Amino acid sequence: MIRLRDITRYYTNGFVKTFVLRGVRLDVAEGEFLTIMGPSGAGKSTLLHILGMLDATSEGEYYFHDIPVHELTERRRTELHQQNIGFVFQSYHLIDDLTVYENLETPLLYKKVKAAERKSLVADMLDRFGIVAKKDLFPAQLSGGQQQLVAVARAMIIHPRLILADEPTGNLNSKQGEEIMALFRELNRAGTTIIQVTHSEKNAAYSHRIIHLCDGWVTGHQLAASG
Amino acid sequence: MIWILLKQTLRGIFRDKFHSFINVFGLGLGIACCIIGLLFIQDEWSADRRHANAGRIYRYGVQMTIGGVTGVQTTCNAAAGPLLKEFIPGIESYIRIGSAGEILVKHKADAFQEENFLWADPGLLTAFSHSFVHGNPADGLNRNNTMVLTRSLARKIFGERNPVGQMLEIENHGPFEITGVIADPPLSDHLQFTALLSFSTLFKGLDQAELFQPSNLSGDMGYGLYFLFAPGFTAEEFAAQERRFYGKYQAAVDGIQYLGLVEPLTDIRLRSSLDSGQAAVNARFLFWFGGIVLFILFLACVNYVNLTTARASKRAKEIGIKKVVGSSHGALVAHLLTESLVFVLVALAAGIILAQIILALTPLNEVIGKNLQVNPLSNPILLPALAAIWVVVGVLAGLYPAFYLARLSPVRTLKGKAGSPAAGRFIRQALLVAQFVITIAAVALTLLMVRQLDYVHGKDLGFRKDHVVVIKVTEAGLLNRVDAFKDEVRRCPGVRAAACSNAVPGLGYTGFAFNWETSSGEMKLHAFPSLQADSDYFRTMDIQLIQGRNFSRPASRADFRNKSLEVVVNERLVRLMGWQEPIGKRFQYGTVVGVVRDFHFDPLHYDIRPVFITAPMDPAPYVSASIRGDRIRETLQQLRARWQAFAPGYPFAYTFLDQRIARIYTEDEKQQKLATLFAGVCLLISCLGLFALASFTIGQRTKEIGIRRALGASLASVVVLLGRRFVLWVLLANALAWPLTYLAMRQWLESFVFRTPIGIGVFLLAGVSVLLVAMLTVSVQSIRAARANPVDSLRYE
Ligand SMILES: Nc1ncnc2c1ncn2[C@@H]1O[C@H](COP(=O)(O)OP(=O)(O)OP(=O)(O)O)[C@@H](O)[C@H]1O
Ligand SMILES: [Mg+2]
Repeated sequence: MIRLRDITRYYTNGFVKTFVLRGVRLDVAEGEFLTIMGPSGAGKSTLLHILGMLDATSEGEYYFHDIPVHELTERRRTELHQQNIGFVFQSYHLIDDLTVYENLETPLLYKKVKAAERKSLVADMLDRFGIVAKKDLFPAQLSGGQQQLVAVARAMIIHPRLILADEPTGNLNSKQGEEIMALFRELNRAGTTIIQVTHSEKNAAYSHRIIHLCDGWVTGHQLAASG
Repeated sequence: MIWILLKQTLRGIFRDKFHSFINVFGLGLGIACCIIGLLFIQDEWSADRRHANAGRIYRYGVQMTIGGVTGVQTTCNAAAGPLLKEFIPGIESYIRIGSAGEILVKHKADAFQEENFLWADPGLLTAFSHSFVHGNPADGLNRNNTMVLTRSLARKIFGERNPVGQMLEIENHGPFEITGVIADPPLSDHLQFTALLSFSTLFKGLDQAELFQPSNLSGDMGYGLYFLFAPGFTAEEFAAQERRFYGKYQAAVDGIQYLGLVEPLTDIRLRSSLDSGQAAVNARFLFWFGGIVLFILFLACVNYVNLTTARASKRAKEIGIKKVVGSSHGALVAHLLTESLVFVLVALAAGIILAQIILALTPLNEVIGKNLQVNPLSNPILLPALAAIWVVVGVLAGLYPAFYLARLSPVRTLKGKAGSPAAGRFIRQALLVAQFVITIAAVALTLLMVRQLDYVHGKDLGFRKDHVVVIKVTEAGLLNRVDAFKDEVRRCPGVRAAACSNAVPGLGYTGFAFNWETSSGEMKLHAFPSLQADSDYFRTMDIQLIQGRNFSRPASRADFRNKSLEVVVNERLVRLMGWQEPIGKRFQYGTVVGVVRDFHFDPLHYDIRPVFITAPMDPAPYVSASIRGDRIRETLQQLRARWQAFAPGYPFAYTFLDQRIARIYTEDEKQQKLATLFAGVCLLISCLGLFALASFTIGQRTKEIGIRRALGASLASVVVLLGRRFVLWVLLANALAWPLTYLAMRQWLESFVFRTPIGIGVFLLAGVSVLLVAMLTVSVQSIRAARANPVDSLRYE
């Protein structure tokens, strides 16, 4: 599903190039659950952003279902992203000014989904994640775990083939974290490909495969407990 | 989608009530000014265009050259209309008008002193479009002694009754039958009047065939003339025909060169060639007004842009998330622009309401001499104009913030790095400085206008203007006995001196072309303005005689025939003629006997002109009395009693000379009042913007303030720290504003020949006062921020 070839990402600061990713080579198959681990500053988030098409590569090739993402125009990239990818972040990143319902609806608006269909999709999600009662609340009125639940629901609502999660449990207590991880496993079993970044061995254990990133280099592949 | 955006935008507006209010109010005020400006421009532009025949109506004027001096005037002899119409087939009809001056109107026992009556040919009602309340255009002013009232005058005299068929007694002209009532002409109309009197009455019983001869055209030129041209007849064709007429009848008449000219009715207000002075005043006023309005709108838009980009850090996260969940760049720009349009729509509604409030509750209409109203439904241009304002302001004000925000990288915004207040700070500061440049300029210009008007009112005019009462005698029978009345007035204990004259300051002079003896002894034709005043005039008015003597006797027609008139001239005339010894110099009808110090008979817009003064040959209608300043009320009582004995049944009408003079400057006062108003609005909008921006930047620095306070910084040092930057901006604005303002001031002062010097004072005063207001605006918030408990601000994080 994903093929990265010699992905390099650097920032130019004056005349100094700071390398964040160096020659990353990675293949991810459809239906996989992958964990990226590594020390802080290793480039994990950067890699995830590139995978999610939020950030561009400096060098290298990125094929998504054999489509050369590195060659696409901004507009085509947005389209590809819109159709296929859902994001979950450590700090949830819900829109503060929108209610739970509206937060869930937002990705559908950008996909130009019809109103009636939007309504049923959002209702489905609310139902599936057990947050129907919260639909008219604003993010600030929810607990961290509930906010992350909404964030996952928002990522799921477009039925993405790939979910990218950057330390999704980082701000949660362990019980909330377990709930989210259980949810991921369930989604993965239903066919969604998941790539997560985490520092926790426990979370990593939910996935099939772990790669280690250090100083921008991929330093190791490892099969996870469940893999 | 659009509904969802709408809902979300409105919610956003309500969420941050404080900033939204400032934003809506500021922008609304700007839009209100813009609406008023538009109405004003519409009103000026449509002046006289409302007449159905406006395109075919032309005003006639005359360019004459006498004694080498060429002048253009918009008045002519009463014969010009009939003679030209007969000669030129392209003229469909002519409309002559004449001012009836101050006139007494009697209805049964009631008497009314009226000022704005016009003598007019019936064409005024048929060629021009006036809507009739009673009667009809066709039989309006066709017969002698008929008149048409405006609705307001009809109401004043007759109440709500229909006055058609009733009679009014007009001073010196007998009874008039009312044949119609028309709506008051709108203030933008060039011809303003409260009633029309049939023009033919003026020549009743006279032999018009003899009177209306081409040879008379260059004399008795006291009437206005308008033509209704046949469709297709042009001003160029008129000019050609007029030359033929001149060649045939006038060329041989005398040494005067006479050229008849026409200009379209619709040009009169803003670009007249015949009366370019007034048109230039109108056009310039329009220019300034429009400019100011655009500036204010700009100020309001700046507030919007600044607040929106300053809040970018709040919005940045939302934008980043939207990109993450799949929004494209284009969709975001569209979204932000829509938001701006929704916002401006709200501001537009506020603006309409504010404009209505301003026009209804402030004296603005009175100041600008208009009757502007916000009627979106009945005014055909208002709705499209509002729509245009909406789109233009919405897009202009929204464009920069939209692209600025949509460009932010989602990765960076979500890390909280982009959209920090530092981003776009330069543009915000530049805009803020621009705002204050305009504000300081407006304030300084206003101060200068006030100063110039003070100067005008305080300037020594070369004659006494305080405590001078002017009484005008108009009725012919009374006028013949005016000298007796003057003597009565002089006998009042409170009166220092009294005199009769044919003009008072501010009314202007009549000019006459006579032969004058040059310094080399020959006689040469010169056109000088003249004043007729009796020998008491100089004493009454404190005009100083510096050479020779006063008039030794009243003048008479015989003096004229015998060339033995006594003339007093002013210094300017002596200088112009280059006389070494003015006393004894000859002029066509007499001899110079005295010289008076120059005095300002004309408004201070104009230079002092060479003037000669003779004693009146006909009774002079203005009785001026210089009264003692300590018993004004009693003296007026005495004057009233003498008037009633002199003219039983006539109302006692008087004016104070200083008030009459002040009236000359109403136009300037109008500009000054308007400038004050706009300077106030500028200051208000700019400070609103500053207030919001300061609250925002200070809000951003809460944590820093907390740390500094925790480290022991004093309250004062924190306030200085926070306020310093704003003060620097305003100082910078001062530096930029002063040279620009100086140029604008020079331009404005150019309309006065006598001007107050532009001192550094107005700049300092404007700069310092704006700075103080700005500092006050900022320090309110700095102090509040600095006094907050540091622990509170640090607890988050
Ligand atoms: N705009 C930038 N300019 C320069 N360097 C940057 C920029 N953004 C990120 N970096 C650097 O890239 C490196 C990788 O950052 P990244 O956020 O991918 O790390 P990470 O592995 O996710 O770390 P963490 O576990 O702390 O989240 C860091 O050293 C960071 O300083
Ligand atoms: Mg990271």
